[in-house]
Amino acid sequence: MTLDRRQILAAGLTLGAMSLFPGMSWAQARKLVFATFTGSWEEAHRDVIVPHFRKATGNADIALDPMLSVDMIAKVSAAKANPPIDVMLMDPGPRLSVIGQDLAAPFPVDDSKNYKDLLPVAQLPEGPGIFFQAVGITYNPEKVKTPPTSWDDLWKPEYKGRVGITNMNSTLGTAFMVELAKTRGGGENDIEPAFAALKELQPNLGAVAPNPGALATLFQQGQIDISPGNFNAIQILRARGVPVEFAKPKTGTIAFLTTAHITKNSPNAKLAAALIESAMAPEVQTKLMQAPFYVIPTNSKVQMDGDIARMIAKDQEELKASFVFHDWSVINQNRAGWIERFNKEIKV
Amino acid sequence: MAALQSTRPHRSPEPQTAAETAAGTASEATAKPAGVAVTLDGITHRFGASTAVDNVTLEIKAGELVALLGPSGCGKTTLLRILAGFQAQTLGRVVIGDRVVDSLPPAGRGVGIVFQNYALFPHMTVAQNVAYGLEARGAARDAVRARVEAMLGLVKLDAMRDRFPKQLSGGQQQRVALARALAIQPSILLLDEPFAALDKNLRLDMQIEIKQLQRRFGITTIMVTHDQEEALSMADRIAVLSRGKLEQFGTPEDVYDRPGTLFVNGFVGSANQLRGRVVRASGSVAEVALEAGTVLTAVTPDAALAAGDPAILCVRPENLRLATEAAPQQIVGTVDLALPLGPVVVYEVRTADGGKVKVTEPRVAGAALRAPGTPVRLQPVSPQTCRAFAVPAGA
Amino acid sequence: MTAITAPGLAGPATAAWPRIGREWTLALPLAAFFAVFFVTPLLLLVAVSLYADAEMTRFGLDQYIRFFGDTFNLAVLGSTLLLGVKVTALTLLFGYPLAWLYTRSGPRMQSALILVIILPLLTSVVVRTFAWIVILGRDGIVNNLLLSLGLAETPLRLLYTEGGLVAALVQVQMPLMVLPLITTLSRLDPNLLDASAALGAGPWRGFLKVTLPLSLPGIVAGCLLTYAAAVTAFITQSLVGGGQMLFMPQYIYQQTITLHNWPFAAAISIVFMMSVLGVVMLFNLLGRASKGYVHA
Repeated sequence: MTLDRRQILAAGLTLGAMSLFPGMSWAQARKLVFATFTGSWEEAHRDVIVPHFRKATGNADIALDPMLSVDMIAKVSAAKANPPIDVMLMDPGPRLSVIGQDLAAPFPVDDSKNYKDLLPVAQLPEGPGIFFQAVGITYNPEKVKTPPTSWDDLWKPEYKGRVGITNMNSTLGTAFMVELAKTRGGGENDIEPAFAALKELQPNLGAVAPNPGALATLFQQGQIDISPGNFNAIQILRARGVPVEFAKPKTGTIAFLTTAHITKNSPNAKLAAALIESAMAPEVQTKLMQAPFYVIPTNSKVQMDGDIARMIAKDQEELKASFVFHDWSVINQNRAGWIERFNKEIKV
Repeated sequence: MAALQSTRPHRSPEPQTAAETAAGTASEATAKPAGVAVTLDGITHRFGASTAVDNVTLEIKAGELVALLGPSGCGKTTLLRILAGFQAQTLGRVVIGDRVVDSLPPAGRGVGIVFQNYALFPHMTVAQNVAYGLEARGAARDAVRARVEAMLGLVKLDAMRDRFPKQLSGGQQQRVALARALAIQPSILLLDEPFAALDKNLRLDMQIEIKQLQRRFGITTIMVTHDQEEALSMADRIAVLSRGKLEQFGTPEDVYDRPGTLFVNGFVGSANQLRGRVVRASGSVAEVALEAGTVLTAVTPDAALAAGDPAILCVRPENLRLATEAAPQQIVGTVDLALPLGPVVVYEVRTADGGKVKVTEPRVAGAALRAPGTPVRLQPVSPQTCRAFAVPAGA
Repeated sequence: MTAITAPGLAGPATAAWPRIGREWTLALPLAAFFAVFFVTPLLLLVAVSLYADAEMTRFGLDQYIRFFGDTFNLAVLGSTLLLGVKVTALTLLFGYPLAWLYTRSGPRMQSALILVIILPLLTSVVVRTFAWIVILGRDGIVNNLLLSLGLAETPLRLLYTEGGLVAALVQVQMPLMVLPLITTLSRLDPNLLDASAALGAGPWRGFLKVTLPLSLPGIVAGCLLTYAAAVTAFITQSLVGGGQMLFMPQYIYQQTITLHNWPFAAAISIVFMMSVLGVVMLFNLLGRASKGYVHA
């Protein structure tokens, strides 16, 4: 044997210690810490928002720390007096937790140049909306010849075993269920029709993915051909040549607003506001809207074009008309019960 | 052992045979069954490019105790493993009794084996160890129990039957191994360096005990050893091996007193090796002019020496005596060192050419040792004790 | 027979007892580390589990009552513990021959085998798990093979099934089983099997009566590691098991990260930990019994 166990153990312990204390190598003072989302979001934010921010602030030091909204909340609430994060990105559900737990400082609306140009729905003083995420029907155009037009298409018998969903742990899974309830006479306060519909969907279900990322990769594996999906998640697959398309259901595209928040007690509050200012700027949002990022803008001055104009909305008017928003304050109250029910009832 | 045929299935003692024999009492076990003859016929074994055993032929008689003697790496253990069936030889045949056993697994060859480290099953008691082979052969429970009792009685371990191997001394462990090997009534007993792990006092006791058991059973026994004293004291015949080749196969007296090769002469016992040149050779006798300055008459076992050939003459220290008067065929020198060893004194004598010759002399109580520098004359007790060999290539 | 003394045997045994000196102080840093990073959080976990409500305003055993009051929760716990048993059994079944093969191989083959065995440890569990998604997918290697051989007419559902999950976990945890087994099997005296064969036992009897009982300590150690790793393998369980198969780790994750119900999550964590500990202690008892058996 060339590797003895002691060596492996020693190497393992060293690696373990290094991952436990990633900050072991810090030496500088505190940078502005921007907690962004993982994957292509981080890439987009680093390539577009960060340069704009540095130009505007005279090369202020900034670090991106990608994670999920829920993890941001966990980190900040664990150290409220001295938060390790200055700017947080929130999906609508977690956003309410941030406000409820008083973890965010209000955005200085009056000093802002871009805030008033945001679409009204994005003008939120607790933390403005810097982009939209859209959930519609994603499908493999090689297998699904007629582009779907309605959520009901998922129930077509021809898609037996070809439909994928995620469980309700994710925003995507929960929003899909709420929308399902809404299209069948229920809503945020009456999820019953969604569970009934899901029971009918069972023969078609090919997979219940643990999270939206896993759901997207299932297209790549050919495991599923049609599913509710996030517009941005499929752009990554499209860029890699996976045949996936996005279709708007006739009842509307489910939209979430992603908001940016200044962490309460941040030592870098001014820089944090400057970063959010950059994220709202029309030139930043225009650049983010284009390939390869395809981020849906919240600033009304941005001219829609490219895939976003084709697949989401050709202008702000159509966007307003086709986007459906859910009431996450009601959803949050009911979600625990729904998840428990989903755990128990949905088996494939 | 019953008549053995080559067509026999390879579970050699069949269940009922084992059961019958197992039912035997200790007195039956001590009766003298005839062992079987073993023939190794032209055995060659190669590991890759190296030859571990090179065309060895041995005919071992029924009931004989044969020692395979040689330094480590001489192929003796490989030969034992081939005989036991743990390894298949590259060339040659193994015949046990009148059966060619080459295609038989170890279990079918009727061999009992005692390993150097005994290889007792550490998780089984003494009794379970002894019973293992009987149970494997499907003997009835009562028969197994009786046979185990008989075997434990034989090796005087009745009181230890429920102990585990780790709780036993080295000698006790060896006796368990022996009882386990003999329990299945093998036709041959193989011993792999059986005494190497024992300390010196215990070793002699065990040698006597095994020799007695072997005599009583009349079982053909083949023992691997690197210890010449062990081989000389225990074996009926000794096969001396070197580098995979059989050097000599003969009685201890043959091997010791009439070594057939230079290697045997040097490996078994100690010998003065004196360089010289053949002056005259006729038949199996040659006169060798030594570099030490004397001409000695010697026996030439390989008869290949002619006048003028360089030769090495071997003579054992105990076959030289210290002469008081000058005579022909004497080696002249001076005492360099005296080593009193109790019964004898060993003198190292420096000869005229600067070489050294050892000689032993019985020690008489109270007699003074010969002081270093004393001139002495050394004379072989007889020409038969001097043996001349050709100088090996590279020597 | 003269009195038999065996200094060679008694010697090392007594010498092996370490004299208690100041060496124990070497363990202090680790002890401190454990106290700060393991014991303290564990006590906190117990404390949190004793809150009666999700908002953590009053104390009570409500969370535990809720857990044990619902057969669904018990089913999740049961299926998690059972998953561990299945994975451990299969890992042993495949790992034992592999370890055995290793001990029987020449040095070159051993180097190759150890590389194959260690390799899974050198790649990230996420990478290994995604590889399994590729293998098990509808368009994956297994399905393509079955279809091209005509063994199946339509692709089988392998991904997000318990069978697929068990297969992936078996592969991912294999080194944890094989390494202790190799250690034990390598220490087995090869003469023991030769002795068994010469005494008339066939290979199977030799295996069952000699090799297997003597390798019991390695089996117990391997099973212990594999079991503990399999029941807590959050990443593999969620990525290969899918979103509808719920095991304890995902259940805990769901309650904390999605629902922020820390007291209930803490309570099910404690219940899970105690259950796993119970199984581990059972293994340990077996291990101690087997050790007594071998080193009596």
